[in-house]
Amino acid sequence: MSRRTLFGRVAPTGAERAIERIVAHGLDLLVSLPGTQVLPLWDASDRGSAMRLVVPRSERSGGFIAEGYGLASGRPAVVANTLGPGVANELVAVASANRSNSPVLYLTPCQPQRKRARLDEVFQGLDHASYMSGVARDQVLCDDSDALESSIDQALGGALGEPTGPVRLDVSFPIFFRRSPRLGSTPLRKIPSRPPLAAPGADLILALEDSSLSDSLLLDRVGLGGGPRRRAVHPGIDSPGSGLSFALGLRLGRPRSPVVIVTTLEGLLAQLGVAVVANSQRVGLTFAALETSAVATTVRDAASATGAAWMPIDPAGSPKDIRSAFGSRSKGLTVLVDG
Amino acid sequence: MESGSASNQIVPVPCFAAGTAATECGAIEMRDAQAAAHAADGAARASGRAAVVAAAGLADSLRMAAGLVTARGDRQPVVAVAALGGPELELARPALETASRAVIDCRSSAIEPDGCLAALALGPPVVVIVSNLVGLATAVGRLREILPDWSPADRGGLEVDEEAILEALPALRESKRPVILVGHGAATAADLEAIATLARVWQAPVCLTFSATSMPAGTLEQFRSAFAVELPILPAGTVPWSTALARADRVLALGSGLSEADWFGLSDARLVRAPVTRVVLAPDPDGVAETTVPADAGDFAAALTNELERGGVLTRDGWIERFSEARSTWTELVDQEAERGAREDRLTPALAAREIVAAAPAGTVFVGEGGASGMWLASYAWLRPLVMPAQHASIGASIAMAAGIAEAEPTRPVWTVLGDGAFFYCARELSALAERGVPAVVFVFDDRSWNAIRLVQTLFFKRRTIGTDLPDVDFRNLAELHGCETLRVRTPGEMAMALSLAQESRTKPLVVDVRIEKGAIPFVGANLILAEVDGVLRTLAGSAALSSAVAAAKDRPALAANLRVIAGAVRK
Repeated sequence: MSRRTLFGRVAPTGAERAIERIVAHGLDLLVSLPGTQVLPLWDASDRGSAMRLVVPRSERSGGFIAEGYGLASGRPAVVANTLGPGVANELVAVASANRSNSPVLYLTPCQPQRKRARLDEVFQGLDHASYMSGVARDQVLCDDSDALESSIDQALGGALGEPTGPVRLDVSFPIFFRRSPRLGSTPLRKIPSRPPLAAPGADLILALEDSSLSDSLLLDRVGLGGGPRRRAVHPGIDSPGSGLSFALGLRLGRPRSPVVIVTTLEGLLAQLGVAVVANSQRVGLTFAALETSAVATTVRDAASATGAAWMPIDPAGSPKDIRSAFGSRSKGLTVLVDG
Repeated sequence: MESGSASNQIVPVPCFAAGTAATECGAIEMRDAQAAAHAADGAARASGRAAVVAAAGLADSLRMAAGLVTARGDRQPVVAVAALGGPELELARPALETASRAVIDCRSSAIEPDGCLAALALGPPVVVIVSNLVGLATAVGRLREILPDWSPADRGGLEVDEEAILEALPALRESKRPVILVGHGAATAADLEAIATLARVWQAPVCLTFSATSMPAGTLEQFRSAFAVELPILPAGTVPWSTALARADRVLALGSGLSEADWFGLSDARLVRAPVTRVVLAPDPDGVAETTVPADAGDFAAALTNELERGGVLTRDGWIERFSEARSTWTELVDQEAERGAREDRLTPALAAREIVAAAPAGTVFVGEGGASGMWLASYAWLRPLVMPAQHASIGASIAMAAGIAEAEPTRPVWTVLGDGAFFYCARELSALAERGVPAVVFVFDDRSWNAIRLVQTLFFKRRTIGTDLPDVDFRNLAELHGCETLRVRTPGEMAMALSLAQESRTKPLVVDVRIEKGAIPFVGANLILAEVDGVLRTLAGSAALSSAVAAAKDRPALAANLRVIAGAVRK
């Protein structure tokens, strides 16, 4: 992909080549917080590519969005955060995706080789590979611009391998900025996505903030006991405060399936930033709670503060009717607060 | 020799944890284990004393490791205890090792005090691994006994090389344009009087590193008293600071890591060309210093002072006065820029930051972050106690750090400034602050954007501001859900009223949503941006020129404000 400018055609930047390769593999979701070293990827993804950019409100949240997306769609989201502290914040989400076998491609700028030898003095220096070695399924390092495409293929092959999981690709960040023709790049051999890994075929996906909520009596009251309870999905690592991110990822990965995430009031209040992101992604977001419960007023106020719809649940209502309401098209993502 | 540390008195060691770990070891409960690590980090930064964070299980240990990374960047004395066993330990161990400088495995033995203190002296943070919750409670109890004995001045058995000191002195004495760079290690552990005396005798301006700028509050007060007004101490990241480092013919770096953020080690923008003599107690390899001397910074300063008094001072006439004048000019320019907002009745970030700093009671500890809000705060909170991550310039930690500071320095007000982009990282900890009745004041600089990144897009990406606009969020409503008092201000007049309220005593946190203008460019921090793009600066040169032209056409007010200050300072 070269680009025409006032001064003639110019070779693509490494970031443009990376996005081109990723799109050629059929991936379409970039989950990324801003940082100087990831800006070339943002710039490239905005130049007519099919990538959708989701900007979460923390790197950890972005990782859980990607985990949910991978499970729901069978395709990896691309997570690109800035080096150093950005990568540090991804840790628990990488571990969670590893446990749930969710395919995720963590595409991360890293310091060039000559700086990696003295990271203590380097601004935002962190040894990514060492830090992540316990939790990532695999890690690939690209220091050579000519190997960019093959490194992406290798990392994607790992993420969509057997079993699927999160794979990290560290790219020496100057490669993203520099223009270079694709010399001897590997011909594309498209790596096929997997079928949905979570709740395949379900008309409504039930997600739990953590696995202990599967015992909640609320599920029966709202018609989500039985089959939905058995098929309920949750992040690989119980992670209070990350369930809504996970559920948003499920919704983005399966846009035709409404998602209900069950959480606690504490869990909801920890995730109001995700609600803001969900609204900006035009996901129909609803907060729900039994209208007689102790948490109802606060949940209603939280809905008002974040622009979510408020759905008070009549405790005397028919579970079947309540479940139907969750499945209506206007309710893309419902946060059901147990309390 | 007296230590320059904040205090040697025995004080309780603050300990933070989330969930079960907090209950088991009687720690201050935070909502999240990463926030607990930030709280311990904040406590250590503000007090200069060691602090503890504890976590149990895989998920919380990983979160704790993520928080430790920021503490590691600035070598904060945090001891982290993780209760893990079997396969979970194997998953978490690499992250815990990378996020710390020493790991002590206490799964089958008790903590050995000397080993723990020596590990802290060699380089914090330190991780202690235990096998279960009982071990966690025992280890935290033991640390509460051991750590009050620790001070930043502890040498942990490190030997001083007297011969190396003597060998380093002649080259320094030859300098005609000397600059003393004081790093966090020297600011917290050395004899500040000795360093101040050296600066006077040598006629050398003193540059503080970013991490030294956030020295413990008590130490800062000693520092101000030792250096008095006639010595030019130059604020990190400002034009006079950069000018001094650029024009020096010799830099004496005391207790500094010679970080890229302090202009060292950059390949594309090598501002510091002078040879560097580095004095550190525990030298680690660096590719920058000409000479590294393993010695205490205060002892070395005293030795060099003796050498200068004996052999004569060769410093050029007017060298130090030039920086006294430059510092005054800088202060005036920055003040004038804030005043411009006041005259035009516009709530600019410069005006908001200046008024916040001016209104804060004496002794207030300010907490900042690595984004634009932190740069604004740093522009005005000069030589006031300021806690801010330097090496990692992290965002999202300040509310949790405020919780730690409130615990470690309970008599000091804590005023936090963070950006709207960072608010949600640790917003849930507002509930923890409210529950404990911590009267912290939190100012959210609400400019509806990731402003520091927009600045990079403005300077290098031809103002293509993709993804950096944030939706309009009413932070007042959100903070009320966490049990805080709240205010929203949009004008200088409303800001003044909010600051009056902030000065009043209260029993819960106050969150002020400060609606500031979008797109303003901070006056400090060019060194941080250049450190971020070091390696591609030449690649970006053409794009930067074009971007600047586009910005000059479209962002005139923001650029003009910045250029007024920068150009004014450069002229001096």
